[in-house]
Amino acid sequence: MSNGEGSYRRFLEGEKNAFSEIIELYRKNLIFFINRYLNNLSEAEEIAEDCFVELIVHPRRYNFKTSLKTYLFTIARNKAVDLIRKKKFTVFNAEEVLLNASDDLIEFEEDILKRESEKALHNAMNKLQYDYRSALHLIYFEDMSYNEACVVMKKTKKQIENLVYRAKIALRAILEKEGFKYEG
Amino acid sequence: MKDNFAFTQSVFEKSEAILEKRKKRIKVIKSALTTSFCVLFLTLAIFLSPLTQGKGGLLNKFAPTKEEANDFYYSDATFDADSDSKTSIEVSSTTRPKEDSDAESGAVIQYYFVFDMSKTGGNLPDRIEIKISGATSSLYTEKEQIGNIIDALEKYSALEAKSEKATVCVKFLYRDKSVIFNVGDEFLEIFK
Repeated sequence: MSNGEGSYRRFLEGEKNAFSEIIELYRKNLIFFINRYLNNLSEAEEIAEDCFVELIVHPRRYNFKTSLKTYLFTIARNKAVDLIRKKKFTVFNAEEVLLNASDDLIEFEEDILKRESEKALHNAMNKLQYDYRSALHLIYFEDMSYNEACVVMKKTKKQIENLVYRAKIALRAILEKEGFKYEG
Repeated sequence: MKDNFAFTQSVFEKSEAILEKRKKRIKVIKSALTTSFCVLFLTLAIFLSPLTQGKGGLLNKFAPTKEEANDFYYSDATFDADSDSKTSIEVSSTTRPKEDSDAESGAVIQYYFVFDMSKTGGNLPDRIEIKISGATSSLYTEKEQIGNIIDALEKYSALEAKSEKATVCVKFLYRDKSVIFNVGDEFLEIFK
């Protein structure tokens, strides 16, 4: 399977179909990540589209020094944060979210989160604050390195380490409250 | 939620719309720039032409005044009409009267020559101004001086070659009276 950078390079050289490969590779994860910020699947999808549009409209902005995934997630985070600022999103209540979750969202989450434990973790993560949620998501759901997460979140490595550490403590408290046993 | 194909389609449609918008914007900016450049050029052409040309023109204002001409072209100066020319117009310094003669005569006259070269073509400048100061007692020397200048001008090969009919006028200021004569005229008559 080709990596995103290779596909993007081929797309820039004129192979239009290569872009579909990029979309195939990152679409779901990107929407999932954006949804962590917005908690609105259709808006997350819109922003994900805009991220890919960015690749087509401003091809010179990506310098191939970071992975395409990191670049896309950085754009996604920026766009999501912008939208939150615009709409003055309030920190949402996870229970309310679950009640209001559309079938689409449930189906989407089912598709991404294969195991029960992952779902529980995902739900618990939704109760964390934005930065904790993003840091944990990038490191544990997207398998990004700390360095890549730094780029996406525009923070130093030390800050990311601290965020992950604190996020884990907060997450353990939530999971324990819900009857899960935390091992680690 | 869109499937992969619909999502891809949507991405391409959005990008095309943005690129199209960008193209239009560039077109508008280009035409605006061209228009403003043309307007600016025309405005400059219209407003600057009366300023730069004619008697009261801006360029003329920078030309040396009669008094200033003294600083530029003095009687004992040697100046080249053209650095490449074979002939240069030379004015010797013999016109400068001695202080004694000045004192004796008690009158210092000034000769101010304006050579209008614009009709001559060639490599000479359009206008040559020469000022000669002298006492009345040294008038004869100054007459000679005028002759020298005219000779030099006549000798200027380009002048003769380029326009036979060209008249080189000498505006001669003599005690606030200006006399204009052609190069070929007998200069001595002026002093009658």
